[in-house]
Amino acid sequence: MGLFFALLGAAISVLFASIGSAIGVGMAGEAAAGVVTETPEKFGKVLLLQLLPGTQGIYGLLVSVLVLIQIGILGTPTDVSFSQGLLYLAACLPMGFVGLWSAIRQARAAVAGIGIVSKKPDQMGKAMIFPAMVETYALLALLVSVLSVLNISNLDV
Amino acid sequence: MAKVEMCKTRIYGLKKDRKKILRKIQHLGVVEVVDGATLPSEGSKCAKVSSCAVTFDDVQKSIKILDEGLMVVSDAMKILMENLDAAQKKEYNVGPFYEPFVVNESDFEYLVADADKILDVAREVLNEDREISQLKAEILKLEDDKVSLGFWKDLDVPTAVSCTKFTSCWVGTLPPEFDNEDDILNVLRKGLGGKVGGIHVEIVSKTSELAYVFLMCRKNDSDLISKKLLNLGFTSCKYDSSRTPLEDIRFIEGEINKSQARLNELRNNIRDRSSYLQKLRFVYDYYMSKKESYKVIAKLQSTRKAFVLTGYVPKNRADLVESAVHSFPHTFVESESIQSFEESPVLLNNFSAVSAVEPVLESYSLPSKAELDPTFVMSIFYYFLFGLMLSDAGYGAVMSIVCGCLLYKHKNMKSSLKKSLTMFFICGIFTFFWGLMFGSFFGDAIEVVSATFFGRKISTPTFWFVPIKRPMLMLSFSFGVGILHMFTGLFFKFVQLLKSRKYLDAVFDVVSWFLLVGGLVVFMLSVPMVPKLLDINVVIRPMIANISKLFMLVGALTVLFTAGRGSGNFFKRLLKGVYGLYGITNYLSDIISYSRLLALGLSTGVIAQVFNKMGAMGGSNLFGVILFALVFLLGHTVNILINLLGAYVHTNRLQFVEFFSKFYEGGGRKFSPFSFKTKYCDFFGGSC
Repeated sequence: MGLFFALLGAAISVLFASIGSAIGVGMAGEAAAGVVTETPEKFGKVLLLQLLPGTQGIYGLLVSVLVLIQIGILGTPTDVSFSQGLLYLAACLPMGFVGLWSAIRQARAAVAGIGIVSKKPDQMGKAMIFPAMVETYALLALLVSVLSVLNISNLDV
Repeated sequence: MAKVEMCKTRIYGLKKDRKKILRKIQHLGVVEVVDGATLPSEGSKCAKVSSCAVTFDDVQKSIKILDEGLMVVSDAMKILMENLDAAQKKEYNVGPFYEPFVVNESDFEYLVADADKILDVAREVLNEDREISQLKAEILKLEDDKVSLGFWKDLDVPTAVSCTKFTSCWVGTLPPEFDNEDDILNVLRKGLGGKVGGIHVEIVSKTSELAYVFLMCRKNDSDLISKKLLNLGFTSCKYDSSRTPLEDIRFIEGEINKSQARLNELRNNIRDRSSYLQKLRFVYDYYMSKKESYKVIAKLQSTRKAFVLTGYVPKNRADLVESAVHSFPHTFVESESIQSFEESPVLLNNFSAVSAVEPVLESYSLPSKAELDPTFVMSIFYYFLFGLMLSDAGYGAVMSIVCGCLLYKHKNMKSSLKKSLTMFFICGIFTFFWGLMFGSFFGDAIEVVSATFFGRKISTPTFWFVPIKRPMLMLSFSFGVGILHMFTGLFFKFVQLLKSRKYLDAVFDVVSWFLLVGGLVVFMLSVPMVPKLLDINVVIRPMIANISKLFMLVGALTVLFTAGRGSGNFFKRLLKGVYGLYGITNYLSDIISYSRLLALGLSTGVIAQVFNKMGAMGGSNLFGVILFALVFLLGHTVNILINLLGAYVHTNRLQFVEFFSKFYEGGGRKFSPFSFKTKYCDFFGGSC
């Protein structure tokens, strides 16, 4: 049963964060395609901006894989107690939910950034910073999830 | 390693030499021309100079003509490029590593004299291209006709036939349900109450949509029949030719052949002109630089026979300008230093490893007049932090090797590209360094490969510690780096304030925070639980802890009583002081923001491990090796790219938000000298 909850946690992490990224990258992609129809040479620049909300999905995968390693689905099999399983589930929640929401919000900033690039291609550096600000919070969630996941096996529960 | 000192230069010359003088200065490319209209005329040495001897309209007119020429030339170049064969396309391709071709002085004059002729060629190319598209449309239309005439090809009378001496004829289409000659006859007869005879119907051809028919009847029945036909949905044939359809088709085929021949001829003509591409490129650049010089002419101040050019020039290049225009008689150059109220344009001068991060600084803002150039310190932290975020020896090596090879192979690339490649080259070296420190080489590739294929696990050499095994240590290291980074920023502010002789501000705004934040950090470490939590081994002696408390107190009080020193009212001042003290939360959140160093480092490493694990699933056989190679190549390429983007963006953020907020505002304007802004050529080789 513990294993089930741990696996549920891993699933939630990758599920929500990836959904967020998919929505985000999709939104930014639409905006980017709009720019490319007018000025195809800006493809490289808008592609970078499109990719920015994609990182949440990767962070979700990261937490998920760490859980899979810790609970022995990947690598050496270990015993997971019921309460440990619940703890893994709890540890995955920050990444899942913050990943979902921050990716969407970051995508909106990225879309606005694509707007900047379409008018002023030389302001690329600034356009990338605004979405990056949002990503900070995904990183904080990632940090909490990772630190928890890595240390749960040391707990005596 | 700093901002280049500028001075102001004035060049006085005769109008008849203007063109040559301007070209010399344009070639030097070290003078940024100031718009004469914006200069204060009163009290300056050229009080009597009017700034509009060349009228604005004249210049606008010339620029318009040039723009037209530029458009013709660039369109013609595009057409010529499209018609090249693959090998030539490669030869003429203007990619990011395009090396401009050098035009020396004699070639330049020769080509300039030829410019009008070259422009004519461009116009011809455009005309021919226009004709080609017309011909193409024409051929399409003819092909269309040929197809629809095909349905009539069995008709052996001309389509225009309408009557003979005793009969009336119709050529046209009926709805598809009339697919039988007898049916049509019956319908017609019935409709006319059996009064009419002698109708001839012939179905020429049938499709699912239409029946193509020929009808004939006696002349005096024609009115009745044509009315009836209209009711049945008869449409007469749109071709109205005195030839039979077959003859028409032959004729159209002939026309198509003719057009095709002309088309090929035109295409060949265009292809033959591909040798003009180089010349067109020259003309394009020449017009562009001419446009630049017209813009400068509009900025000159002039009298009836003379002109004055005012501009900014780097101080160490001022003598270059002087010697360049020396050869012209009646020309005079004077320089003066920039006055304190003037905002001069900013040019940075750093050695290449440092100047590589200048574009990053530029994308924030260039230093204003009062500020120091932060590029040097920024570059050190930039490389350091970037390496820390990516932190994989393999990825670093790949980055450095790729960028290094490109830099080595294409020595004459554009300076902006060169800067970014240099930046990523050095970032690669630091990434390699941190990868070794943290024991990461393509993730855990060494372990996985040795364990899967050689049966003996070799661990990646680690010179410090593995972050995923001791994440708290990595976190505290990140915080440490952050504190160092921010304190460097504060120190910069300290120096800047000292330089502008604001000693009290330096103490109140900088030293106080050093004491407060520094004291706080040391005090926190002195609490035994904290180092244990942070996984570091420091013991702070009680005395030092006490001193740190004192520092904290002094710092806090200084902030409390001085942060509001601008206000007169005591209470207002105190309140502002309290608010100032609240700023400590900014410092804390800034320090915590550096935890991204850990998060990004982990994300690179763990994703790399995932790919390695996936690759190793095939086991230790031939299939396994191939699978591993494929997954390794694809997975790590993706991982490098995504994490490179992440590391770049977040390093920028740490510089812009955490570092610059401590001391840097920017607001300088970039120095943009009057020069040949060429795209394809290098006029006279090697600009100065």
